[in-house]
Amino acid sequence: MNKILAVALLDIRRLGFGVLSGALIAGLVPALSRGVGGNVPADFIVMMALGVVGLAVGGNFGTDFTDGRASFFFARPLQTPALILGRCLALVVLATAAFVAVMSSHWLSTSDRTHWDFFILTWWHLAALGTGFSLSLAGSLNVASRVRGDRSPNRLRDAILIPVRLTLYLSAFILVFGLFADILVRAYQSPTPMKLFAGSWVVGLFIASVVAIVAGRADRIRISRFQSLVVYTQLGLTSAFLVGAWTYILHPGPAAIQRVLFVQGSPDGSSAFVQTTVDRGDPGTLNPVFVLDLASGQARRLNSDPWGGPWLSSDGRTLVWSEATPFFFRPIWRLLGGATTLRVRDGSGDVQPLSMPSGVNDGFKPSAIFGGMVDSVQPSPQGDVFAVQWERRLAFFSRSRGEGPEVKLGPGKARLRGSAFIASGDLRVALVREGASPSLVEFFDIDPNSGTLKPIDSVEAGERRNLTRVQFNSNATLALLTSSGANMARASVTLVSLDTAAGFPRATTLLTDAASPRAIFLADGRIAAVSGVRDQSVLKVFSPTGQPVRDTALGEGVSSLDGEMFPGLVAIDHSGSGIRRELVLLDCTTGSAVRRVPEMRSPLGIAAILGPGQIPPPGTAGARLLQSDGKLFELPSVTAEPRLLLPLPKTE
Amino acid sequence: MTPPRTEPWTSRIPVQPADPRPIWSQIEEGLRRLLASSALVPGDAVPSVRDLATDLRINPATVSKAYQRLVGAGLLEVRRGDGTYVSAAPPLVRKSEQARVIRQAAMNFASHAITHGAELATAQGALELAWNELSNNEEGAGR
Amino acid sequence: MTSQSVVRVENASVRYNKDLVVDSVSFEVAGGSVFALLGRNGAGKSSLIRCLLGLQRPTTGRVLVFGEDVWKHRARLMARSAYVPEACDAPGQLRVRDIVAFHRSMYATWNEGAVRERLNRFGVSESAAVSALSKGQRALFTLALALGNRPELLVLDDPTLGLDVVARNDFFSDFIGELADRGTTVILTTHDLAGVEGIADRVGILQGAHLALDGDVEQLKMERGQSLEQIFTEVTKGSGRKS
Repeated sequence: MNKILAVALLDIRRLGFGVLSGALIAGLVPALSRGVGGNVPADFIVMMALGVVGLAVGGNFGTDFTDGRASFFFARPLQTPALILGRCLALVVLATAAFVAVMSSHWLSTSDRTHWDFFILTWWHLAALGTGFSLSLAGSLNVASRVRGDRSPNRLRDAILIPVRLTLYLSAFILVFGLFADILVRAYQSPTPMKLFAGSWVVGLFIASVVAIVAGRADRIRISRFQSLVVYTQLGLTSAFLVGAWTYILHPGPAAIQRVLFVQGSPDGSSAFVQTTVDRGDPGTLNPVFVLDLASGQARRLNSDPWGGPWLSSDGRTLVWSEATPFFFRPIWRLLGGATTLRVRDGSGDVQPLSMPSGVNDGFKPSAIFGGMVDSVQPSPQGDVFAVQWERRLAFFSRSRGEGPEVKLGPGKARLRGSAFIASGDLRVALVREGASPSLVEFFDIDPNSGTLKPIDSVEAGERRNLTRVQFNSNATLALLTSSGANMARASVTLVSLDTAAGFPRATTLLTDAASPRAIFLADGRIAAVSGVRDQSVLKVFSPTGQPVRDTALGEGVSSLDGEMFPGLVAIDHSGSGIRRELVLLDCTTGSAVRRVPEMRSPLGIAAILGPGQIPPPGTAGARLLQSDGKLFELPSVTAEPRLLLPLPKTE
Repeated sequence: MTPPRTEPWTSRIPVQPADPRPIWSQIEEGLRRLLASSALVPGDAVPSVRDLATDLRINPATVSKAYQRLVGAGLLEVRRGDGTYVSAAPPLVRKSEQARVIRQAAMNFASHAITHGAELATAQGALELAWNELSNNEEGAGR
Repeated sequence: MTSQSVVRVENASVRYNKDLVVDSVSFEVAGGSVFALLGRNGAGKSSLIRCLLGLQRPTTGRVLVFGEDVWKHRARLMARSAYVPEACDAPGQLRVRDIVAFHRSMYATWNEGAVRERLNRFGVSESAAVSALSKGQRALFTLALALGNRPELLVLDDPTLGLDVVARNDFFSDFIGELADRGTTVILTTHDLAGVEGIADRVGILQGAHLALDGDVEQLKMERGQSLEQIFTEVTKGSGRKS
C-alpha cells in the first residue's frame, strides 16, 4: 500500500502544479465569457478540466517510455499492478483537486454558489475523465512501443501485405460500425447504445493497456503485441456481437409483434400490411412491416425501409417496396451508380430488384439515405410499368423496356395530388402548380412511353387550395377534391367528372364550409361524405352524378368516415368528450346504424388517403379489419364478434 | 610511529592496469620495493584495502589478494581492529627458500638483459646501481 | 558472498522483428565479482542489461538472478538489486528529496543516512530539481540512490559516460568503497576501458550478437600480453554496427 501511495505521490507532484494552476484559470472562463457576451457554463469547464487531467495522467505511461524512464519504475521492487493502481490513485486525487480548483475560482469570480456541489458531477464528467485517461494511456503506449523497423524492408512482401491488411481492417471497420449504425438508426435512436458502444471501447483500450504493461513492462515488442491482441479480441467479439444483434434486432418474426400501429389492406382484400412495434428495439423507432395473409392468419415480415412502401398495383398482384439494406453502404452504391433498394414481387412470388430512374441518384442528400430515396412507386395493373415519384419529380420505369422518361410537371413547381393508371395504360394525375391560380387543380393523362402530358381538365377547387386531397374512383373517371383554407374548419368537397362522355357537369360542389369533411366513392358508384357542420356531424349520401340523396344526423360528438366495410355499409368512427369511442356501421340506403363496435377503429380511414387502387373492396377480409389499442381484429360478419389477428394469439 | 606520509599511494606504488602483469603482483612488487628502500619500515601502517583500492582505482579484492600473499610471506601483519602493518620482525626465510627466490629473480633479470642485447658487464653494473640506490634510500631515511 | 553465481544468463537471445541483436548468449557472474560487458555501439549490451533487470523478456532463453528467473520474479529480485542507468531516469521536474522519498518507500533495506551523507559529499542539494543538476551531479545522484538500498547486485550501464575527471573520480571512489565494504556483485558496461581495467574481474565482449570472449581479465591479459583495450580492439576489429 505504501508503494502505491509512493507512486501516486510522485505523479501528483509531477502534475500537481500544472493541473491546479490550469484549473484555477479555467474556472475563470465562465466569468470572462459572460463579460464578452457569451455563456460558457461551469459544467462544461469542469468536464474539459477533468478530460485534460485524464489525458495528462494517462500520457505519463507512454512518455515515461519514450523519455527513457521505464527503468525508473521497473528496475524497482514495485509490482506492475501497484504502479498502475498508484497512477489511478493519482488520477482520482488530481481530478478532485481540479474540480475543487475550478469550482473555487468560478465561485469567487461569479459568486455563483449553485455549482458548489459535487452533484453537478454527472456521468459526462466521469466519462470525460475516463476517456481522456484511457485514450492517452493507450495512445501514448502505442506510440512508445513502436519497435524499430526491419533493417531489410521487403518491398514485394509489403506491396502485397499492406493492401491486404488495409482491406481487412477496412472491412472489419465497415462491418462493425456499419452494422452498428444500422442498428442505431433503425432501432435505437437514443444515445444509450452509442454511450455503451463508446464506453466499451474506452474500457477495452484501458484493459488492453493494462494487460500490455503487466505482460510487457519495458519490452516494446511484448507491449505492442499484447495491446494489439486485446484490441483485436475486442474487435472480434464486438463484431460477432454486432452481427448477432443486427440479425436479431432487425429481423424479427411475427411472434415478436407487440402492437399494431398502422394497417393497410391490399387492393384485393386478401392480405393486409401492418406496421408494428416488436419486442426488441425502441418502439418509437423500430416499426417493422409484416404481410398478413388474412385467410390463413400467417404473417411474414417485409424487409422494408421505414416509409419505403409497400406499394401495390390496383389488382393487388404486384408489390413494390424499398429493401432495408444496411444504409451505411448506400452512399457508396449511389456514387458507383448503383444498386437500387427497390424490390418488386409479382403474382408468381418472385422477388426482383427494380431499377430506379437515374434522376433519383442525382445529388447527395444525407436524409435520403435514412428515409428511403423515393416517395412512392406505383405499379400499373399489369405490373410492367412503374410510376416513380421523388422530390416532386415523376418518372416512369418499364420492366420490359427499361428506363422511361422523366415527366416535366412544370412550368414551376408542381405537386402531384393524386395518380391512377387508367385502362389505356396512361397515368392520370391531378396537379397543383405554383404560378397558376392558387386553387386550380389540373388533370392530365401521362403517356409512360413518351412522358408527355395530355390535359384533360382543370377545376377550381374553391377557397385556397391548402390540404387539397384528390381521390379517384376505381376507373379514374371521377375525382373527389377536398380542399380547405388554413384549417379544416371550412373545407369543401367537389366532385369532378373526367369522362367527357358522361354528360353531367364537370364539377359539382358537394359540400362547402364543412368541418373536416371526408368523402368516399361507394362500390356502387354513390358518394358518401361525413362532415361536421356547427358541431353536428352528418352523413350525406349523393348519387353517382353528385345529387344529394340522403342526410343522416350522426348525433353528438365527433364522427369521421373511415370507409365502406360491407357493401352499402360505411364504418364511422365516433368519439367525443363523455362518449365512449365506438365504430358505427351505417347503412347508406336506410340511414340506420346496424352495428356498433365499442373501442374499435377501421384502418380504411387512413388507407383512403392513398387512392382507390389501394383500398380493399367492401366485404373482403381486408375491408373488415378493426384496430384497437395496438391489436388487429377482423369482423367476420356484421353481427359476429371481432376475431383477434395480431399480436399472434398465443397457442397453449 | 612514523609521521603520516602525505604523498598519495598512486605515485608510490605505480600500478599500471594496462600492464599485462597481474595487478596483485604489481602491488606486491611495489610494496616490496618500498620495503627494500626503507621507504616503508617495520611497524609502518600500510593503507587499508579500501583506501588503497580507492586510491589506485582497482578492485579491492585484488588489493586484498596482494595483501594476503604478503601476509602469507611474512612481510605484512594484520593487527585485529587496528589495520595492516609492516611486520616488525623480518621474515625468517630458509636458506633454500632464499636461494630459490634469488635464483628466480636473477633468471628474470638475466633473460631481460640478454634478450635486450646487453653484455654481462652492463648487467652487473646496473645491478650494482640499483643495490646502491636502495641502500642509499635506507640511509637517507635517517634510521 | 558464496561462490554460487549471482547472475546466470542461459542461452539468451533478443530479437526485434528481423533484427537478432543477441544470439544465444550465456555467461555467469559469481558472487562478489565484477563483470564487465563490452561491445561496440549497438552490439546489444543495453538489450542484455534490460533482460538482466527483468525489464525485457529475452526472445529465447532466460536470465537467472539469485537463482530465480528475473522476468518472472522481477519485483522480489529487484529488492536486492540496484541499477545505475546511462542517463538519470528520474523525472526531471521533481526534486531530489522527492525522488529520495520515493526510493525510501520502495526498499526495506533503505539506508537514509548513507544516502544523505553521499548527497552532501557530492554537493547535491536536496531541494534542487533533478533537471537543474549538472551532468556529473546527476550521475553521482543516481549512484547514491542505487547504493541506498545496500544492494547485493549492482548493474551499471556506462555510468561515467560524459563525466569530467573530478566527477569520475568521485564516482569511482564511492563505487570501489562500496565494493570494499560489501563485496557487491557488479555487472557493468562501459566505453572507458582504461578506467575499469583495474576493477573488472571478468570480461565479456559482445561481437556480432555473440559473446566472442568471456574470461578472467588477469588471465586473458597474461595469456595475450595485451591491455584490455588492446584485447577489445582486436576482438571487435571491423565489426562496427550501425547503431
